[in-house]
Amino acid sequence: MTDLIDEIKTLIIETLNLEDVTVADIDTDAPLFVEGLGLDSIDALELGVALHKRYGLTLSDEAEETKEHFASVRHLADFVAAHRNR
Amino acid sequence: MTDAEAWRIWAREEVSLVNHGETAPVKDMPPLLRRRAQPLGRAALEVLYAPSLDYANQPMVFCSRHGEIARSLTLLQSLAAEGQVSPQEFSMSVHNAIPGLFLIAKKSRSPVMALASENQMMLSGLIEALGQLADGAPSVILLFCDAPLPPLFRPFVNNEPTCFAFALEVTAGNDYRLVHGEATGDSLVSALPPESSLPLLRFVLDETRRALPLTQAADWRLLRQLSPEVGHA
Repeated sequence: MTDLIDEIKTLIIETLNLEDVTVADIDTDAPLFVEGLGLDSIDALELGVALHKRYGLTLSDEAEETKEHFASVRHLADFVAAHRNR
Repeated sequence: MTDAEAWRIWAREEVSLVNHGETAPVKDMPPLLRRRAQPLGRAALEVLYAPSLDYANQPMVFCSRHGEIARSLTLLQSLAAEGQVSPQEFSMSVHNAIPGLFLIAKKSRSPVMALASENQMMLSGLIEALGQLADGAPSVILLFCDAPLPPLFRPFVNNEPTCFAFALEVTAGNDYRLVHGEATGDSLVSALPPESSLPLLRFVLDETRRALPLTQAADWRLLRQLSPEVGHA
């Protein structure tokens, strides 16, 4: 799981051009959006596309559910581990 | 080049600007906003953050012949190849996105006009800036930037020789005059160089020059007004 967590952190850094941010800088349990890492709604879309490309995930239109998956890197890793097909 | 005299020599001797492929650091911009700009945008932002500019919510006229056109090309290519585009790139693929980033960072609601023109970039920018002054703005930031085109586009349009950005702060006064008249047959008439707007910076810096043609026919010109003392000397 730690590997997947680091992999997702790397994916976030590379996909969103987070200059000067390293894997170690991202708190696994901190919020990704607004607070914590401070990402915005465009980043959420970008991350959705990246998760689809990398893991074959399709995010549901159900806003609340998606919000939950995106709450932190740990939530994202749980979601990826449970639903990935590549 | 960091000192004023080097820039004056650059202007007088018509030497090319050399870009060493470095990307402007834009240290003063929050990283979360800065990451959205490509090298051209970063060059423009570096200029806007320059201490000498002293941004005070003036209206801005953003002038770029092609903007961050490499981004649009990448979007089109990924749309053709994969059927989907990057939302982040798409959100930045409008011409006013670069000044938009700056205004977001400065929490400014000042007006921005983003212009693109193939051969009349300097003229278009000046006319818009004068319009803003006539409308009551005490000063206007006139920003020009461009970069070499992606190779795919080069056969079709004038290519910009180098990546550059500069800004002028325009206020009402008598130092310069924008004139429109007959196309002249004198030495003012010369084909405009491939540089879209650097001739304007050269002209402003080179105080020995009287006139700058702004169109191919030189029917529009920017004139430097000589003060009476200088005129008699």
